[in-house]
Amino acid sequence: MGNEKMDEIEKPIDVQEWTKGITHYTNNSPDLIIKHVERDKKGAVFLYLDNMINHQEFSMLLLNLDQMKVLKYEELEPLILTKKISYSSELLQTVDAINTGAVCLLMENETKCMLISLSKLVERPLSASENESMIFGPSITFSESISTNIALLRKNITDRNLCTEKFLVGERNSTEVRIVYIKDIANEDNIATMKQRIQDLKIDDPIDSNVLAQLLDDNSLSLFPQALTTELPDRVCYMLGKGKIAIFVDRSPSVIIAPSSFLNFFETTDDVYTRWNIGSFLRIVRFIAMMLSLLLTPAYVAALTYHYEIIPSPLLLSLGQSRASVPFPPVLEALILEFILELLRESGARLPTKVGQTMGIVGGIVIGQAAVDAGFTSNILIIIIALSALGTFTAPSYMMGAVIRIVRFPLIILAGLWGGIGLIFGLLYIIIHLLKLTSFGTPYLVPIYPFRFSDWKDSLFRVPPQYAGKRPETNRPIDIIRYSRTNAKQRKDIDE
Amino acid sequence: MNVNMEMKKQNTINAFLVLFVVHTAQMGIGVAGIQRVLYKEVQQDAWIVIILSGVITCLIVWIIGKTLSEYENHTLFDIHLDIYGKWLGKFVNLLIVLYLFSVFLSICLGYIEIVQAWMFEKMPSWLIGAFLIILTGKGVRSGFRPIVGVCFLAFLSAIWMLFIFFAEPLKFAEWHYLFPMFELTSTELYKGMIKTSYSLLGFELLYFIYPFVKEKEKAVRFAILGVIASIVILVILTVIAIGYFSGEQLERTIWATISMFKIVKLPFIERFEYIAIPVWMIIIIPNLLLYMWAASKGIKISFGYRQSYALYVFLLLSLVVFIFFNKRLHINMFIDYVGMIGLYVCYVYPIILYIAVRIKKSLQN
Amino acid sequence: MKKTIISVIFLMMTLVLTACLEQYNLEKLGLATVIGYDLDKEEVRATAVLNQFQPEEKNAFQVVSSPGNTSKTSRQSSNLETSNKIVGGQLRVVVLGESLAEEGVLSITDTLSRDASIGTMLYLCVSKGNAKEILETKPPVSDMGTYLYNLLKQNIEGELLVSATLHEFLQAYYDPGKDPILPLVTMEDKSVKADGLVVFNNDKVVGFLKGDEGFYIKLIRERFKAGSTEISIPSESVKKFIKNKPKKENIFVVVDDIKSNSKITLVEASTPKYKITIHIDSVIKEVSEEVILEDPESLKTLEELIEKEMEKKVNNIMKKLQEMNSDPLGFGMVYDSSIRNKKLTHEEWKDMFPHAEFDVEINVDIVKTGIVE
Repeated sequence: MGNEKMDEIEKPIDVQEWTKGITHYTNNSPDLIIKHVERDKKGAVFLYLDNMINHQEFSMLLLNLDQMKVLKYEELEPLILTKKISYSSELLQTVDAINTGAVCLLMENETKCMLISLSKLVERPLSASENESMIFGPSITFSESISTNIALLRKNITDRNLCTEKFLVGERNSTEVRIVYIKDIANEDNIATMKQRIQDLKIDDPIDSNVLAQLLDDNSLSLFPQALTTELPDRVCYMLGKGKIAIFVDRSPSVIIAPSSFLNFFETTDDVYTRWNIGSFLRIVRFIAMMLSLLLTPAYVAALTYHYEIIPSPLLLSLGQSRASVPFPPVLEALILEFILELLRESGARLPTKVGQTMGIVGGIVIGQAAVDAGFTSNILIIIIALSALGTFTAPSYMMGAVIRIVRFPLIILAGLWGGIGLIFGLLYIIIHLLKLTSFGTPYLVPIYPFRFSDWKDSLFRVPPQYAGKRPETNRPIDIIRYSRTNAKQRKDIDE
Repeated sequence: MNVNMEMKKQNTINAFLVLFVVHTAQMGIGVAGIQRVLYKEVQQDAWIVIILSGVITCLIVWIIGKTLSEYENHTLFDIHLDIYGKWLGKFVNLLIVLYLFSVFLSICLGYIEIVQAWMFEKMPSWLIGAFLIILTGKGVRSGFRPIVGVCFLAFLSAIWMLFIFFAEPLKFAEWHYLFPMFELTSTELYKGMIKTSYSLLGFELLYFIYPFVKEKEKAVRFAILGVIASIVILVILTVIAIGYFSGEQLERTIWATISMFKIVKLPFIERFEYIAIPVWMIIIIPNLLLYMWAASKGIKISFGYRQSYALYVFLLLSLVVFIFFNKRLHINMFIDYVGMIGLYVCYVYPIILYIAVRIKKSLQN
Repeated sequence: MKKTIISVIFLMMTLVLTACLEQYNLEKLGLATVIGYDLDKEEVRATAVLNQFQPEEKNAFQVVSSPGNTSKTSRQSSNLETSNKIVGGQLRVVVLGESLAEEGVLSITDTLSRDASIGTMLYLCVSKGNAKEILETKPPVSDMGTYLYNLLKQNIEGELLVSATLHEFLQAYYDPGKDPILPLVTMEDKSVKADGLVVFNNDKVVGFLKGDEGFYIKLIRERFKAGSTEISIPSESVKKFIKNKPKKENIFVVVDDIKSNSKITLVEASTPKYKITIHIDSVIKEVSEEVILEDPESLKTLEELIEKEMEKKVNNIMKKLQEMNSDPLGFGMVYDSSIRNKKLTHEEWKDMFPHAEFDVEINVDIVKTGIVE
C-alpha cells in the first residue's frame, strides 16, 4: 500500500522550477551559486551558498563527478563516503538544508534532490576557561559548536552507556539540543521530565543554554537559578557521574546541568582534585562566606539603627566615632556603598580586561579612602561591605553569587526598617521559598531537606573517596556504587 | 465512607520527620516562660511535674496513634465525619478548626508581646502580626512537605541555643534551690500538670499529619520520641532556671528563658537576647504553619471550600484580631483560655474519641 | 502568582509607609556607661557619664546630673541637659551612693531590672560618700564609665572582689536566706579605687568588710577559686625551720588558692548549727623569711598554722556578719534546702541568723612552692 502511494507522488522534479524556487526562497541571496553540469545530455545543477560551504571539499566532489559516466545519484554516492548525504523531494526542506551549508544537487528525471552536507565549521579553537577559574584540573572549555562539544565529552567519557539524545528546539531558528546522560546512572523519571519539557517548548530561538535553562525552570519568578550551567567538561563529567543530566545547546559554550540543588552551586571539581581535608574546608569556607555576605551588612544596619545594646564595648567607641561624621542613616549609608560596589563590579565586567584592572585601583582608592575621609561612610562599613563582596565571589557559580548580592538589598532595607525582626523575617521568607523550590521536580535544598545524611558526604563536605563510595541518593541512580571500598583496600595491621 | 484514599507520593514524608514535626510543634511560646508559671504552683519540684506530664502526654500520643491506625489514611476530620455522621461531624470539625485557629492566634499574640516587651516597645502589634501572617501564608501555600521542611530546618537552626544555657547561666546556678526534692502534694501536682499542658500542646497535630507519613507503624514511635525531646528540653530549661533565679525572683520573671539569655556575652555580641528574640520567630514559625495548615485543611475536608481560600480568610481574620486586640490583660486571658481548651481537646478528648471509634468498629463487625 | 506579587508589594508599601519605628542611631545617642544614684533631700539624684560621639574628638563625654522622685524622672530631666538622647542600653556600672544605700536601694535595682534594654550583667557598687563626686572626677585613663567597669571587672576576674552583677544582687535579695554583697568604691586624692565590700540586710547597707576579709567570703561562696591572701604566723612556732634568725615577731606567708572547695552543711536545724568545711589546694607565693619548704615536716607545720589562722579569721567574719545580721553567704539558703515542708521567710531567717552557730574546718594542702626550693 505504501509503495502505491509513493508511486503516485513520485514524479520527476522540474529542475528549472526548483532552481527558481530555491532562488526565491533564499530571498535572491547574492551568495547563492547555481552551477550547471552536463553529462550524456543529462543536465544537473549544483546549488549552494557560497560562504557556507567548504570549497576544498566541494572541488573534490567535482573531481569525483568528472570520473562518472552517467549522472545518477547511486553512482555518485559511493564516491563521497565520508560526507553526510540525504535526499529530499520537498522544496522548503531543501532550502533549509542549503541555508545550513549543504550543497544541493538536482538531476533531471529524478524524483528527489541530493543534499550533501559540506558546511564549513565556524568555530574558535578550544581555549582555557576564563569565567570559571580553577586551580587544578584540565583547563579546557567547551566551545560554541555542539559537535565539538559532544566530541570533547566523548573523549572524557568512554562509557558505553552514555546517551546523547538529539532534539531540535526553535520554531524559526531551529537549534540542536542534546540531552546527555549515562543510561544506568541517571534516573529515568528525570530524563522523561527533561525530554517532555524540551519537546513542549515552543519558541522562536533558544539563543543560548542559559536562556534554555530559564525556559525549562520550575519557577521562573524565583530569584534563585534552578539549573547549573558550566563550560568545563570535567565538571560536566563529574556531575554526570553523580546521576545528573546535561543539556548541550548548539552555539553555546555552557552546558546545563540538571536537576541541580542549592548546594551544587557551591561545588567545584577543585574540591575533588584537592585532598579531602582541603576540599571539605574550602566548601565550608564557601558556605560561611555566603552566610557572611548575606548577613553582615544587614546586621550592621540593624545594630546601628535599633540595637545599639548588642555592640560590645571595645567596638562601641570606634563604631560611634566613625559613624559620627556620616550624614546618612545607616540604611542609606549601606545601600549607597553596596550600590557603588555593584557599579564598580559591573563596569569592571563590561570594560576590556586591560582597562578593567585600573577600575579596581580607582575603585579601591576612591571608594575606600576618599569616601571615609570625606565623611561619606564609616570605615567599618567599608570593611564589612568589602568582606561581603568577597564572600559572594567565592561562589563557584556566577549566577549564585549574583543572586546573593541581589538578595542582600531587600535584607538591608528590612533591617533598616525593623531591625532584627525585619532581618529574620526576610531570612525566613527566603528559607520557606527555598524549601518550596524544586529543580526539575527535585527539591532544591536536598540533601538538607529532604534529609539524606549519606549525601552530605559529597555536598556539604567532601569526604575521602573510600567513604563516599555511593552515588548521591537524591538522583535515585540505578547503579548506586561508584567506588568499591572493599576491593580497593585490604585491611592491614600495624607494620605489615 | 470513602475508606483509605491514596496519598500522592510526593506529599508523603518519612516517618522520622514526625519527630521534628511533633517536637517543633510543641516548642513555641510556652518554653519562653513556663518556669515561672510552674514555679508558682509547685516551687522547686517543677521539673518533676514536667516529667510526669510528659509521661501522660506519651500515653495520649499512643492512644492517638491507636485511633488513627483504625483508619489508615484519614485525618481527624474524616474520622469525625465517619463517626458522628455528616452534620454533627461537620459541627465538631468546625469546633476543632476554631481551636486550631485560636492556638495559632495565641502563639502570634504571645510572640508579639515578647517582641514588644523586649525589643520594640512601640512596634505596632499588627505589624509584627503582619510578618507572621505573610510567612504563614507563604508557607502554607507551599504545601505540606515544605512545611515539614520548615519544622526540620527550624529545629536545626534553633537547637544550638540550648547549649548557650550550659555555657553561661549554669555558672550562676545555685543548686541549693532545687532542694528539698519531692515536696509536692497531689493537688500541687495536678495544678502543675494543668499549667504544663499549654507548653506541651502540639502533639495533637499527629491527628492531621498521620495520613502523610510513609511508614505508618513507625509514626507513633517517632511522635513519642518528639515528645520526649520536648520534655528533655523543658526539664533542662526549668532546672537551670530554678537554679539561676532565687524563688521570688523567678516568680517575678515573666519570660525566664529569655531573661537567662541576658547574661550571655559573646566577643562580638554584648547582649544575646537581642539575637534570641528574632531567632525565636524561627521557633514559632513551625507552630504557626502547622496549625494554620491543619485549620485550613479542616475547612477543605468538611466544607469542601478550597484550602487556599480558607487560608486567606483565616489570615485576614487574624490581621483584624491583631489590629483590635492588643490589651495585655485580654491577651493573657485569651492565652489562658486557649490553654484550658487545649487541655480538654488534647488530653481528654482523644480518650473519648478512641472509645467511640472502638464502639463504632465493633458495631460494624 | 501575579496577584500574590502585587499584593505582597502593596502590603510592603503600606508597611513601609505606616510603620516607621523609633530609631536609635548610634551616633545620635548619649550612651550612659555609668550611672550614680544619690539621695538628695528626699529626692533621688541621678548622675550619668554619657558617651557621645564627635568626629574630631576621640573621647567626648558629658556628665549630667539631675534630681527626680524616681530614677526615671531624673533621667528625663537629665535629657534636657544634653544634645543626644540618653539611653541605658550600654550601661555597665551603677554606683549607689552611701546615703542612698543606707536607706535602701530596691527602687533603683527594680527599675534597672524592669528595663529590657538594660543588661543584667552590669556591675553594682556602693560608693563611700556621694556617687556624684566619683563620677565627676577624671580618671587616669579614658572615661569614668570604662574606668570603673574595667576596675571592677579585672578585680572580680582577678579574684580580689566578690562578683556583683545586677543579677546576683537580685538573686540574693529575693532569696530569704541570702543577702546581697557589693564592692565598695572610694575616692582618695582624686583617684577612685575599690576598697573592700559592703554587706546588706535586705536592700540596706549594714556594714563594711575589709579587703582581706573578702578573700574568705569568696572562699566560702565561690566554687573554684578565691585568689590569694596574706597570712601572718608567729615566728616562734616555725623557728626551727627558719634559716636565719627571724627579724620580726610574725612572718608573713602569701597563699594563692588554686583550687578550693567549700561545703556548708546544716548539722542541727533548731539552733541552727552549721559545719563549714573548706579544702584548699594552695601555692606558697611569698614568705617574708627564708623558710625551709622542702622538708615534709616543715610543710605540715606550715599547713597547720595557716589552717589555724584562717579558721580564726573565718570565725571573726562570721561573728561580724551575725552582729550586722547580714547573710551574704547564703546560710539561710542551705537551711531552706535542708528542711522539708517548710518555706523560709525573710523575717524568720532574720530572727534565726544571729543565733546560728558555726563550726569551721579548713584543710590546707600546699601543693607547690614555686619554681625554686
